Formats: sequence, structure tokens, C-alpha cells
Amino acid sequence: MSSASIPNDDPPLTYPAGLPDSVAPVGDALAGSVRVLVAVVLGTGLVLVVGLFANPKQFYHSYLFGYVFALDIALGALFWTMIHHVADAGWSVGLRRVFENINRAILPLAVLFIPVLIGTFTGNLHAWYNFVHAPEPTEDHLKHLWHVKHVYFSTPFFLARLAVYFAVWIGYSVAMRKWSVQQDAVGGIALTRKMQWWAPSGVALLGLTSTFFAFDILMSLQYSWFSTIFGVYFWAGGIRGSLATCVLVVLALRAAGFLRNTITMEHLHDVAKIMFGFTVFWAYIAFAQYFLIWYGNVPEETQFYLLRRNGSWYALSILLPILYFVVPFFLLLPRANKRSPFWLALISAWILVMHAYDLYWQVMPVLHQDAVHFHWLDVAAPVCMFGVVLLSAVWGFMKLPLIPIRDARLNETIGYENETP
Amino acid sequence: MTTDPHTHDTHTGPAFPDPVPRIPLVWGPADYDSVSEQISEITEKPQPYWWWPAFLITSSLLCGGVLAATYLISTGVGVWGSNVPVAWAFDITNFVFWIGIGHAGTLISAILFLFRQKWRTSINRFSEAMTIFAVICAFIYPGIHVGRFWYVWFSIPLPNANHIWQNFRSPLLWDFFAISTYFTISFIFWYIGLLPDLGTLRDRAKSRARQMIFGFLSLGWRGSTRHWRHYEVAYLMLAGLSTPLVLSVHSVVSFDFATSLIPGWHTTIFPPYFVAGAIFGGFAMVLQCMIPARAVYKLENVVTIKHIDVMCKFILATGTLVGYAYCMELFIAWFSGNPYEWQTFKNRAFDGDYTWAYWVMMTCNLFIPQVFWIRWCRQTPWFVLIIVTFVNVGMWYERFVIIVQSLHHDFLPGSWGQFHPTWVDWLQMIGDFGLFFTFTLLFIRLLPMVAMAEVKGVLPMANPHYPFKPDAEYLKGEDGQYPTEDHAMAAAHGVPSRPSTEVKPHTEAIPAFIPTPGGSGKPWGAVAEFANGTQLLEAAKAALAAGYKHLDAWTPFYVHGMKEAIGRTRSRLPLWTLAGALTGLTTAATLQFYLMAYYYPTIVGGKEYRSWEAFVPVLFEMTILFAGFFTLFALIGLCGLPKFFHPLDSHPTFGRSTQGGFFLTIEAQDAKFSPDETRAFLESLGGKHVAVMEA
Repeated sequence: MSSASIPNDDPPLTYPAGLPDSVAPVGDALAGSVRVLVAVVLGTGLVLVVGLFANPKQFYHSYLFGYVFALDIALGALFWTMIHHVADAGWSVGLRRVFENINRAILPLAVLFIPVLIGTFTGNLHAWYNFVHAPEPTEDHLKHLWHVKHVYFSTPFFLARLAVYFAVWIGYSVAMRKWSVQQDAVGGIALTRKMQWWAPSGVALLGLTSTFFAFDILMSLQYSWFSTIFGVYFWAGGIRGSLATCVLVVLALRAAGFLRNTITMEHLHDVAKIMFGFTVFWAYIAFAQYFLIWYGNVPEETQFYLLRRNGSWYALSILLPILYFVVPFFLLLPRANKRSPFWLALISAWILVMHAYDLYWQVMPVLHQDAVHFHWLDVAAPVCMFGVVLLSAVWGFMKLPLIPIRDARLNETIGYENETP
Repeated sequence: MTTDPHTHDTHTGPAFPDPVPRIPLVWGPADYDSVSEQISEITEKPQPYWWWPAFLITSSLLCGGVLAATYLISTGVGVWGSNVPVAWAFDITNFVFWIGIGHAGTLISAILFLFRQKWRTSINRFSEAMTIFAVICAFIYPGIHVGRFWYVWFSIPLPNANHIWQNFRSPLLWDFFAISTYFTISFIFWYIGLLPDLGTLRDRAKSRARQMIFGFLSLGWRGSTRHWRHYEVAYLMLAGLSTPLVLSVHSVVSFDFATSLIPGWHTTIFPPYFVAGAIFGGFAMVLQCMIPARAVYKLENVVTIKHIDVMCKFILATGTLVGYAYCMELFIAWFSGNPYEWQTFKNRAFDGDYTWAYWVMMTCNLFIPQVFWIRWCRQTPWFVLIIVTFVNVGMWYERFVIIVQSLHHDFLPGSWGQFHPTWVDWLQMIGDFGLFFTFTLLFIRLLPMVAMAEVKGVLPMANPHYPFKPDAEYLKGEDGQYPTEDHAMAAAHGVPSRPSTEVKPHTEAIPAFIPTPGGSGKPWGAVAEFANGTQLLEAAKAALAAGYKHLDAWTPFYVHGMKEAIGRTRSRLPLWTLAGALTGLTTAATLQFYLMAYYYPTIVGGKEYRSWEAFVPVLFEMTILFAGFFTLFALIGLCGLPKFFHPLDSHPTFGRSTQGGFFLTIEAQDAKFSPDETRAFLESLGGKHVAVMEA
């Protein structure tokens, strides 16, 4: 493990004595895996470029699907980073660095958002673009709709909103990470208090901005449809997806020989419990949305589910709650599964795939209204985007100590024991 | 015994710098006995001078409520201001208000338990009791709101004379299931939590009557580790059941509104929005009652400023969440482009007859709680009391706005109307507060309002790894300074006691053989008292290592690692919970599908006979209900309770096992048992007050 990979302008880090593992940056130890990951991202990226010319409409939809899959995870990781500070948590100090490294993906993802915008402004993605840029309709029932959407989706307002969302996310993500890394060098409680001071507002703003992001980018795919809970649905997926990503990253590091005694199954057991909780939470939110629309049976609301009853989409709609809720629910219920690296890896991978399934089910019926038309871009896009998330995480582990080594609560995370009766 | 590498005895925690020591949850030099005494005395001493006047006031208000209900039932619902179009008004507003109040209790007792937020131990008993009283207050309204309360049985799943069953697709029936399940599970949870404390009251009782009553109610709880190991798991199971239950209850209440098509009611965020609001209002009510109770009973060391501080943060968080829901509703009403929806919200927020109520709600629930961003506002009890009063008012107005404002202006301008409450409405509402506070006053008088056994478990002395520093360095960081003002405040209450190393001596010598009234003459087993949990743990391990198998340890709270030390493993009780859940699920599925699709097929709302969606609420509630009952009965059965008499009761100091004493017993049925050798063995382990008990 080379300390040479630490930026030279900083004083060399000293590690506290008594850590059970070396937590120095992994440096070149994972270079092989990184090369593979880069190759995958570039390869799938190339496939995406080919797809752009081969089938633009399909490309933009697949791209959006892959994009929100990755962004949702990165935002979830930002949520967990900040909620750690809000709760003044101790047990999860080691895990915080994993989340900090994952939510770093927000930076590249901000750049990768440009194709989505191009899709929207070329009329390839969001149907409202043509609706609001057409002259006022003559039919009465559309007039009211047009006036509202015309204001909400006017280009300056739309772009300004998106700029605010990304500014908030990047701002908090960069600041939280910067202070955390600073603390690695200087220790003390001043930085802890600073992070704790900023985190609550960050969580509140993250909730608000990601809600409106979900409204603007996902809900508006069917622009005359609306659901007040849609923002919560979006969080619920990302929060769980980022937990699953965290588990996979930690298990991979452990498999490669890192952190074996630092982030133990005791920690992962607790992560698995939270994952179980959010599995139920997702089902609750998904059911609340479906159930109230089903019971009310009003056309402007049911259009969302009716579209997803066409042809083979119906089968996917029925399978969604079974695969995304029932299966992980029963897999995560036994204590033994939550403490087994094998099962935990399997369940986390399952949840991630199902998270993608959920977003696919949200995005793609808008394009293929009659039935499921699976396209190779639907694989390339999420793999590429998730690769970006993983690369950001790995990049962090190559440069930074694997845990916040001077955190005020290091005591509580090392040798942490999971108290269950 | 399996050796898990993570049991507590193998813990060798590293010592990294600890610049921000955790503040203990109980302040000052409290120990097990002082906690028992401080809390039990409230129920044992004569009532304070203010108690009777307070009781007189609340019970007079309650009488007013009874009067109003009697007048309503004897005359008819016309005595209320409810009308067409505002057919639901004060009745359902109060119903939802009280159901919501209960939710903080369950959040504190169940959800915070799952998150291991141990500060909850000081307040969970009180707030769980509030949950039960609030649900009783709420239950009154479905009972009387049609004016003919003798038809209440219609909501119980029984067929009428024409073999017509209830409509299982109706939110009102789900409400019945949700609320009765909620009441039952909350009561079970509360009662199970009370068991060890009822044992404490029994063992402290001076009068025969108290001894009998608490002996009966405690089912003979003596703090046996064989019981604790089931108890802890049962508690976890009930917490796990209560967590989705509490989400479901207010969700089902929200379905009463959201399944209909009234603008202002029909929106998908209603379920979580109602839950957040309920927790918000519930926390406000907990503080409203807890701050005065804490002051008059001098509980500042148990319910500390930090507790108030954290609860204020919860109020801030949930208040902001509720504000988020208000904004979502308003935004989507506009964004949807639905003119009816927007008409209602414009009327609600900007230019209607109830705009004032809307802004009372917004101010009290969203804006005013924002003061809790400031530390002083969270840590000044009298100020908190003022703010939570606003919150309680605001939460009442929230329900009033949702119900009355949405109803008074629906689709047809010709049917618009207004609501004017009558004196009966007011009297009924005030009477409900009378009921709630009467119950609360009685509870404070009669039962321990702090969970003593749980608080003992979170004392620094109960933690074998607590880093006791020299007294002068208590709660100071590496630099010798208090890291925050909170640390200084906690330290000002005094340094926590260290675990005692000597057994409290008994006044008289203990005979070597203690007879039991009506005993058989044969020995039951040997008992020894130890000074603290760690010593007992070591002694139990030594006894196990020496080949004894029929061991038991008796402790005032569950000592971690003790079940392994007496050679037991994790309880299998969860299997019973699972069996209960599956039984409930199957019963509910059979009941609903059979009745609604085959026995008397009914079309409701144009849905298919077999459509499953509307059955989900009852499926869920019955699953939880049965699982809860199975857990309760499994706990009682596996522990062999009730056990009102026990040979150990004759031991002169054994009563301390529910207060501050730690006992180890080796039973005569053990193959290695011999009265003299075992007694000598226990003494060699450092046991005091050793005796052999007659069976």
C-alpha cells in the first residue's frame, strides 16, 4: 500500500495506533479491477454512442433509465452521509467513508446529465416539450393544463430549477467530503461539529430537490399524470439502492483483503436491518400510491397504471412488488442471512437489479406503449452509469484512508458489537 | 455452548481518543436502588397537594363529555353542528386528532427501540400509556358519531339477520380493524414492559393489599434470566410488529379520506403525511404532559434536558415533513391542471371561509416549530411547553382544515355550505381532554411512569465497558474541557456511581437452610447474592464451567451475556410470532375472500369480486394482531408464568432481585447438586447471603 498516492501538498497522514487493519488508501492494489471497470464503462459508453445514432428515441429513454438509476443511488449515499451527522451516529463511522465515496459520483453525473437535456430539448424524451411549446390549444380541458405546464416547464424556469438541484447536491457532497478528509489530517471536534451543523439543512434540501427532480424528469414523462407521493417513492428507491451498493462495495473490499476487522459483519448486519426496513418502506409507499389511485379510479390518475397494463407490461407490473418486495423481505427476515456475506451479497445484488427494474418500469412504457421491447441499450445504459458510480467509489478508496481515521466517534465503530437479544 | 466471537466477555475495545464523550442518559449519581426508589415512591407516597384539585377539574370536564354524549344519544346527531355538506366535522376531527396523539408513544417504544435509541427508556412508559388513553379517547367517536351507539356492533365482523356481512372494502371497517389492533398491541406491549416494574412494586410493597395487587399483576415476575431471554426477544418481536402497525394505523385513517374523490382528500401522499403528522402531534403531547410531570416529581435527572432537546428535534423534523406534505398538496393541486383540485386549494389557502384556519395550521405546524433549530429554544422547558401547545393546536386545526374545508366546497357550488359548532360539539371535545387527563393523572398515581428496569439497564454502572474516568475528568474531552455546553450541564448533576462491589449487608444472619411454608422438606436449590452484574456473570460462568447445568441468574434488568453464562441460547419465541402472523394472514384472507366473493358476493365501487387490493388493510391488521397475541402467550407459556409462589420468596434478601440485587441459583435437580458442597461452592465464588431453600 503506497502512501505515495496521497496528494503531495498535504502533510503525510498519520494513522491512530491500535486500528485492527491498515486503512491506508488501497493505492494500486486494486488497479487490475479498476482497469476492468474502466474498460466496462468505456465499452458500454461506446455502445451508447452507437445507440444514439442507431435509434435516438430508444437511446434517450434507455439513457434516462440508466441515468436515474445511478443518480438515485448517489443521492441515497449523500442522504446516508448526512443522516450519519444528523444522528451523531457512532457505529457507522467506518461506513460513512463508503457513502462519501459513492456520492462523489454526483460530480460526473452532473456532466452526464447533458444528454438527458438534449433528449428533452430535441423532443425525443419528454412529451411535454412539444405540448408547452405549441400554441395554446383550443379545447377547454387542455387549455387549463397548457397554462399550468406552460409556466412550469418554460425553458428558463426548468433549467434554473435543475441548476439549483445540482448546485445543492454538489455543494453538500463536496463540502461533507472535504471536511471529512480534512479531519483525517487534523482530527479534533471542530470539523465534526461543522458537519453536524450543516447536515440537517442538507437532508431537508436534498429531500426537496430530489422530489422536484423526480417530478421534473420522471413524473413528467406522462405530463398530465401526477402523484403527490412520487418524490417519496423516488427517495425510497435511492436510499435502499445506496445501501445495497454500500454492502457490495464493502464486501468486495473485504474479499480483496481490506477492512476485514474494521467493517465487520456486525456493521453489515445493521445495514441489512436498515435495508429490510426500507424494503418494507418502499412497499408501503408503492402500495399507498397504487392503492389510492386504484380505489379512486379517476382517468387522469389511472393513466399511469393503465399504461403499465398493456401487453407484456402487465406481467412486469405484477412481478414488480413480488420481486422487489416479497423476495427480499423473506430473504432478509432470517438473522442468519443478514450475517452471511454470501447471502448479503446476493440480496444486495438482487435489490440493485430490482431497483433498475423498478426504474425501467417507470421510464420505458412511455416509449413502448404496447408491450415490452427489450433493447440492448437497456443493459448498456445502467451498466455504464453504475460503473461510473463504482469508479467514483473506487477512486476515493485509492486516494483516501478507507475510514475517517480521526473521527471523534472512531471508538464506537471499531470493535462495534451488534446488540440483539 | 457455542463461542460466538462477538459475545461481550471477549470484548477488548481499543482505546482511541474520545474527544466527545457520550453523555449518560441518567444524570447524577443514580444507582439501581435509587432509580427503583425515585420512581416507585411516586406511587407509594401520599398524593401531592395539587393532585386532587387537578383530578377534580379533569374529571369534571370528563363529566361534561359524558353529558354531551348522553344528550347526543338521547336526542340524535342533530344536536351537533354537522350538516350537509359538512357531515363530518368536530367528531372526526377529534377522532383523527386523538389517534394521532397515540403515535408518538409507539414511535418511542417501538421504532426508537429498533434503532437502539436508548434515551427512549426514560419516556417510553409515559408515552405508551398516553397512546392507550388517546386511543380510548378516539374510540369514543366511531361509537357515538351516528348517535345510535347500540348499533356499534355493526362494525364487528358479524352478519346481520339477512346474512349480510360488513363491507370489507370500506375504509371505515378497516379503521375498526386498525384501531382495535392498535389498541390491543399497544396494550400488550405496554403490559409486557410493565411486568418487571410491577414486580418491583410488589417487592417494595409495605401493605398486604399492594403486595397482593402487584403480585397478581406482575404474574410472579422475579427477574429470572430464563425469563429475560424470552422477554427480550418478545419485546423485540412486539417492537417489530408495532413499527409497521403504527404506520398502518394512521395510513388507514388517511384512507377514510383519500379513497374518496373529494378534492383536498384524494391524494397519494396522504398515508405517510398522516403518519408524520401523527408522530409530530404525539411528540408535542408527550412534552405537554412530561414537562410538568418532570418538574413536579423532580425527575430532572431521569428525563433530562437532553431528552427534551431530542424530542424537540423530532418535532422539528416531523413538522418539516408535514410542511413538505402541505407544500406537495398545494403544488400538485396546481400542477395537475385539475380545476376542482385547484379550486379547493385556492379556497383553502387564499380566499375561502377557512383560510384563517389554514394559516393557523401552517403557522403552528410548519413555521413555529422552526424555532427548534435554536438550541436555547429546545432546552428551555417553559419555552418548549409554549411551542408544543401551538403544535397541539396546529395539529387539531390540520384535521379541521382537511375535513371541514374540503367538505364545505366540493364540486357543485349549489351544495356549498358552512359549519358552525354547537355547544354540544365543544362540550364533547373538552370532555375528551378531560378523559385523557383523568386517565393520565390516575396512571401517574398508580403505576410507575418511568420504565425502571429499562432505565437501570442504561445506567453507566450497568455497562461493563463504561469508561469511568477520574471524577474530575468526567465528561471532559482530551483537552480537559467540556466539549459542549450539554456536557457541562450533565456534569453539574454529579458523577455517575460506579457499580457497587459489596453486597448490601442484611441486618440478620441468614440461616443455611431456609424452610418454605408448606414445603416438602427436600431442598429446592441454593441461592447466593452478588454485588453487581459483572460479578454475577463471572460467577455464573464459573458455575457452568464447574459442571452445574441447572443454573439461573436473577437480575433487575437483563444483563447482556447472561443467558449464555447460564448455558442457554437464543429464545425460539420468534417462531411463535411467525406462526401467529401466518395464522392471522390465513384467517383474514379466508374471511374476506369467502365472504365478499362467494358467500354473499358484493360489488363495491365497481371493483371485481375477487380484487385483492381492498383486502390488504385487514390482511395486514389481522396478521399483526394474531402475531402479537401469539407472542404474548408464547412469552407467558415459555416462562411458565404466572408463578405467584416460589421457594425463593422465603429468602430474606431475594426481593431485591427486582430492585438492585443480583442472585445466582443452582437447583437441586442438578446432578452435581449437594446442599453443603453447592453452598460452599457459591460462597467460594464470592456469593453472599448463601442459603439452601426448601422446595
